[in-house]
Amino acid sequence: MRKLAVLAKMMIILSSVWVMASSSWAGIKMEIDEQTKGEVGIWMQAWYQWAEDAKDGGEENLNDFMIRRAYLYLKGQVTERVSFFTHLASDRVGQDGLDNSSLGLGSGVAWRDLWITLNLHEAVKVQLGRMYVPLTRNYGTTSTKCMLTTDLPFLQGGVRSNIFYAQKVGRDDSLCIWGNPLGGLLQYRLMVSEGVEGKTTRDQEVTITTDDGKMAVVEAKTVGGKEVVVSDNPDDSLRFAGRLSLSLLEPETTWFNKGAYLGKKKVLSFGLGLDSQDDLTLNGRDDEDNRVWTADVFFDHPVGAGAVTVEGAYIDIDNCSQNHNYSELKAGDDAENWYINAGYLLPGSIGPGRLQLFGRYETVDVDKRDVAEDFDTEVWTGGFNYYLKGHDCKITADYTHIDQDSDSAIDNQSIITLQFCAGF
Amino acid sequence: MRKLAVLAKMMIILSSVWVMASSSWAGIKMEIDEQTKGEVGIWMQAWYQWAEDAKDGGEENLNDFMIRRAYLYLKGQVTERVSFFTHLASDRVGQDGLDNSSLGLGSGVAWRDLWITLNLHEAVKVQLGRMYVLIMKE
Repeated sequence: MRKLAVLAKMMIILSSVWVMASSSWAGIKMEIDEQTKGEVGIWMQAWYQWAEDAKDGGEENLNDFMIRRAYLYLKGQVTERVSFFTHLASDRVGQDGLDNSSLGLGSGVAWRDLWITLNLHEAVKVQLGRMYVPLTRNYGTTSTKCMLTTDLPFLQGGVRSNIFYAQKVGRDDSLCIWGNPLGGLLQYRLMVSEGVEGKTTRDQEVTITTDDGKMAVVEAKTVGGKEVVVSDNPDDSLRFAGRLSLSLLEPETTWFNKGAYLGKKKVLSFGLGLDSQDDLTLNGRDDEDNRVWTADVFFDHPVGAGAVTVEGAYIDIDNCSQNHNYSELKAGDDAENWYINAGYLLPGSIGPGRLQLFGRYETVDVDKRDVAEDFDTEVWTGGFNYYLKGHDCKITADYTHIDQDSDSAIDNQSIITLQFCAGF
Repeated sequence: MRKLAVLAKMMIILSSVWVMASSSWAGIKMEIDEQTKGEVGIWMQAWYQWAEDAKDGGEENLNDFMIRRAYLYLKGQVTERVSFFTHLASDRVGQDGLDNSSLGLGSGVAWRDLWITLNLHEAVKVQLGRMYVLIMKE
């Protein structure tokens, strides 16, 4: 009886929590006391993807069903000055050939974001934990739930590619000081973090003589008795990253921005980002300094009953710290990358939802360290979003074509993606 | 004798737990707005298993306590036409010799079910995600 009474009390408390829920940030809101509040929600993106020549070493086309993102969030504040945010998440669950459960990548579940913020002032917040790297707009500030395109740009981990900078699925363990001075006209983010941490190695092709005296090319873990190190941080030097944005129309003051405001906000924002980590070992060479800088512009404005969204960015990479899987960019190389996204939200509804058309052009020019010639990769994307309830519920489809330099060892490829997205 | 007494007590406690159990899918319901609704719940199965000659390459009998299934579910609808279902789950936690955390099998937690359904009509639903394979009733 006593247990039943406790259960009944718990149900009453929980019921009062649900009653307090409101819809402004979409999730379920809770209030524990005057200061302590929380919110919980979930959002997910389910994909079907067809990728040309992506199976059996490029011999066969690939049909891939996957859960692109499944993110359960719990955020809140403990006092008026101390808040927190968590994402318990999985990315690319079921993607062919991917399995890294410790990062919640390909399988398993992991903490994607987890930070505690000391809110000293709107202009000075101190944040400690795992969070976005404040470098680019697209993967440094934009929520991946609210993108204009199906996924991120190719060099930043979109579609089927990986990310050009050191990170833990787009985040880093760090301390970040950020804020919105001048009434949100400016937003700054300054981070000190781990960046490249441990050693990553790769197999290398070497020519050997077989037992029957023939020459053969095989993958070897060591060359001349030494490992081939992709990246390492032998002195455990720190990474420093920062971003400054100037918003000339309505301000963007939150940690997560949107990639498309669907006519509900007028934004013209200019951004600058820097990323630096010294004394790395990159592709077998010691004492290399990794440097990245970027400049971007974002414009989103209602046009009649519709809306237009345009985003462009330039990224300059000196001594890249990662191997990229969809271009010739490897650790230790230099590169220039730029892209432009554009979208148009059609006025009025078509059936129960609204239609938005989008496109993107992206190019990566790689300056190889060991080879005299440069390699270019171009990526074209076109598609649409059909919004049933804003970014909380949409259907997306796109066609992407990756065009490699004629001298590249990587083949051209076409990819078709269909996405269902739902959450709150 | 002492072990048997402990086991008997455990069986009594477990029986009372089963009595308290109610029908499936009776979780905590939430309503965010007129269209957006959710339900969260958990169900679990704890096992003791004795298996003949299952240890040391068939040399010994095996006593195995395990959490056979621990399934946290969150399901709901975002609009009248779009719903979702998720199972965040572990199977066979603690089963002797089993450890595959990437699948939430033996240890760890993984998405067991996760799908989004576009309910075009009672006769036509389009579902995308991870779900049962449609072969057998079970």
